[in-house]
Amino acid sequence: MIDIRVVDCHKSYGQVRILRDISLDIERGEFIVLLGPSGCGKSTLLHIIAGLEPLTSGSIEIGGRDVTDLEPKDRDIAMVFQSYALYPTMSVRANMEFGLRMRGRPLAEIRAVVEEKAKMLGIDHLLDRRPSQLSGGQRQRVAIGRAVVREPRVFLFDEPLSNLDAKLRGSMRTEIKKLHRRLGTTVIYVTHDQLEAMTLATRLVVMKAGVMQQVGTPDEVYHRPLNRFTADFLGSPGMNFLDAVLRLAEGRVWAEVGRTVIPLDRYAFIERPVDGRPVVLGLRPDSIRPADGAEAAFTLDLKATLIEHTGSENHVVFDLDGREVTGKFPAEFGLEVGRTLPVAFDLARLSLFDTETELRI
Amino acid sequence: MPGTFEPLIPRPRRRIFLRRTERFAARFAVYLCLVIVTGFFLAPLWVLLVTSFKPLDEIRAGGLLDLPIAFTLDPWIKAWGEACIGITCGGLKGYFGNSLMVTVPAVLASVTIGAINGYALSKWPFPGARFVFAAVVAGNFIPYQVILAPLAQTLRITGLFGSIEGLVLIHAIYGIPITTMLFRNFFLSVPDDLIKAARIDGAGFFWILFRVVLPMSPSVIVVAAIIQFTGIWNDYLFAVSFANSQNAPMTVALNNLVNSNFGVREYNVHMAATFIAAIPTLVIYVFLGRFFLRGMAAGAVKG
Ligand SMILES: Nc1ncnc2c1ncn2[C@@H]1O[C@H](COP(=O)(O)OP(=O)(O)O)[C@@H](O)[C@H]1O
Ligand SMILES: [Mg+2]
Repeated sequence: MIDIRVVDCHKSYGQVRILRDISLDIERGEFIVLLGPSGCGKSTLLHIIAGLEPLTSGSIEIGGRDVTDLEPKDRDIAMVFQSYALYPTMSVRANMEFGLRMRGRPLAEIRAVVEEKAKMLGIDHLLDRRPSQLSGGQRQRVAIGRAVVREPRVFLFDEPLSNLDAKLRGSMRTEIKKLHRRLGTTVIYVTHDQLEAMTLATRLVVMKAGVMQQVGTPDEVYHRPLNRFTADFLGSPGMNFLDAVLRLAEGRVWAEVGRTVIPLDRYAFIERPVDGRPVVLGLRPDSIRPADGAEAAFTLDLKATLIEHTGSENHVVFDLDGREVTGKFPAEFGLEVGRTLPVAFDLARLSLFDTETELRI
Repeated sequence: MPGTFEPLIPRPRRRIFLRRTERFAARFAVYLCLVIVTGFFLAPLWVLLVTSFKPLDEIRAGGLLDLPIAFTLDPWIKAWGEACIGITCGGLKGYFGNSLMVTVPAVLASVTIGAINGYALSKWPFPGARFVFAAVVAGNFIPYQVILAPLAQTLRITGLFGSIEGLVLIHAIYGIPITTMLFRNFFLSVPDDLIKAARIDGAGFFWILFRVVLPMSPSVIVVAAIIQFTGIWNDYLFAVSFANSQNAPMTVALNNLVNSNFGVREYNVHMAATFIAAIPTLVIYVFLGRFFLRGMAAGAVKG
C-alpha cells in the first residue's frame, strides 16, 4: 500500500530552483532515507512533505489523501528536527503533551500516553526537567518522544543525529532502527551521512542539486550506482575511477585500462557495448582484495605504494599502470609499501559510466 | 632585558604587586566616578524629597539640601487631596486616576499589538513584509507636532476629543511602531524550528505566540512595557492638546498647580506633587529594572 506519494514536485525560491521534478512513491512501513550533500534540497523536500513549505508545483498525497493544501497539523505527520526544537520554557512532560493538548485529547489519556512513551524511550525520569537541563542525547530522545506520542502515520527526521558526538550517534542510530521495527511507522529520514543512510534505510533516495539521482535499496545503490555522482558519494574510501576504452574481441567485451585489459563478461550492460568507446570504470575498494590463489578471480600483480591503517582493515593504494587504485585488505594481512603482490579483482561488482553523461552504461 | 641577568623570581612578584595596586586604583577611580554621577542625578530628587517635608518658612530660610527640622506631612496631604488646580480644589488624586486610566490600557494595547506585529513580521513572512517593517520603522520618526492638527480633527470627528478614551487611542497607536520594532528584533532570535515544531504539533498563529514565543521573551515584554509606561505617563503634549480639564492627566495637572498665579508659591506642596507624579515610574524601574537591563543587554548583543 502506498503511504506517501510525491508527484512532480518543483520548488523555487524566487528565480532559484531548489527542487526539480521530484516524484516518489513510498510504501507503508518503509524507512526512506534522503541522502545527499549539504544544500542539495533534502530539508526543503522534507518540509514540503510536512507542509511547512509550499510547493511551486506538484502535489503530495499521504495515506491516499491529497494533502498539498493542508496545514502540517492535518497531515498526520510528526517531525524531529536537527536542532531538536524543544520548547525551552516547558518541561519535558509539557513538551511531549503539547501536540496532544492542541488536539484536544482528554487529559487522562494524554498523561497515560506520555508516561508510556517516556518509559519506552527511557526518559521517564526526566519528565519534570527543562530542555536546558538535559544532555544532547537526552534532548534527542525527548524530541523523538514528542513525535511518537502523537502516533502519526509518518515520521519525518531532519538530520536528527548530526549534533551528537560519534559514539552517541552510533547508539541512537541503532535505537531509531529498533524504534522503526517496533512501531512499523513509515519514516522519511534526511541525512548527509552515508553510514546512517546505509544502515537505516530500507530504500535510499540519493539527491544532488535538487534532482533525485537514484532510488533503491542500500545494496542496489551501493553496488549498482546509476551514475558517477552516486557511486562517488557512497562508500569510504571512495570508489576507484579509471579511464578505460571498451574493446570487442574474440566475441567478448573488454575494458582497456592503459596496458591492462579487464574482461567484462560478467557486467550487465544497459547499452550495447561499442568497440573503442571511452568509459569510466568504477571499482569499489571492497572488490579489490588479496588473491588467495584458490579462486578463479581476475588477478593482477600490483605494487603497493601507500598503506593506511584504520585498525580493523588496511586501505592499500596500488599502482596500476600509473593510476592509483585503493583496495581494502584485512589488518592481519602482512604487507609493506613497495612490495608487489597478486591482487584479486571482483569483477561482478564493477560499474561502467559514460565519460560525458557520467551515467551507467 | 637582553644582556642583563636578573634573578627570575622577584620580578614576577613585584609585577603582581604592581598589578594589584594598579587594579585597586582603577577600581577606585571607577567607583568614585559612579558616586559622583549618582550624586549628580540624585541631587534633584533629594531636594524634592526634603523640601516636600518642610514647612514653608523653613524653606524660605534656605538650606536647600538640609533635612527638615519640623518634619511635616501636610504638603503631601494637600498635594494629594486639597491643592487648587484650575478652579477646583481637590488636589491631584483625581488626575492621578486619569493618568492611570490613560496609561494602563494604552500600555497594554501597544505592547500586545506590538508583540503580535513583531511576531508576524519576524516569523510569518508574507509578501511585502519588508515594506511594512520599513513603514513601521519610519513611524518611530514622526514628529508629534506635525500630527497634532490632523489628530485633533480625527478625535473631533470620532467624538473622542477631550476624553480619556481619545488619549488612550492615540497613545496606543503611537506606541505601536516602537513596540513592534522591539518585538520584531527580539523574535528574530527565536529559532524558526520552534515555530515549525509547534505548527506540526497543531498550534496556530496565536497559540504559538502565547504558549511558545512570549514565554521565551519576558525581558522584551518588560522593556516594551517600561518604555511605553514612562512615555505615556510622562506625556504632556498629547495630554495638554487633547484632554479637557476634567480628564487631564497628572502632567497637565501638575503644570497647572505649579504655574498657578494665585497666592503664595507653596514649594513644599509643589515638590510633593511632583514626587507623587513620579512615583509610578520610579516604582516600575525599581521593580522591573532588572529585567529592563537584561532585555537591553540581550537586544544589544543580538543587534
Ligand atoms: N527560505 C529560503 N530562501 C532561499 N533559499 C533557500 C531557503 N531555504 C533554503 N534555501 C536554499 O535551498 C537549498 C537547499 O536547502 P536545504 O533543503 O536546506 O538543503 P539540505 O537540507 O539538503 O542541506 C540551499 O541552497 C539553500 O540555500
Ligand atoms: Mg538540511
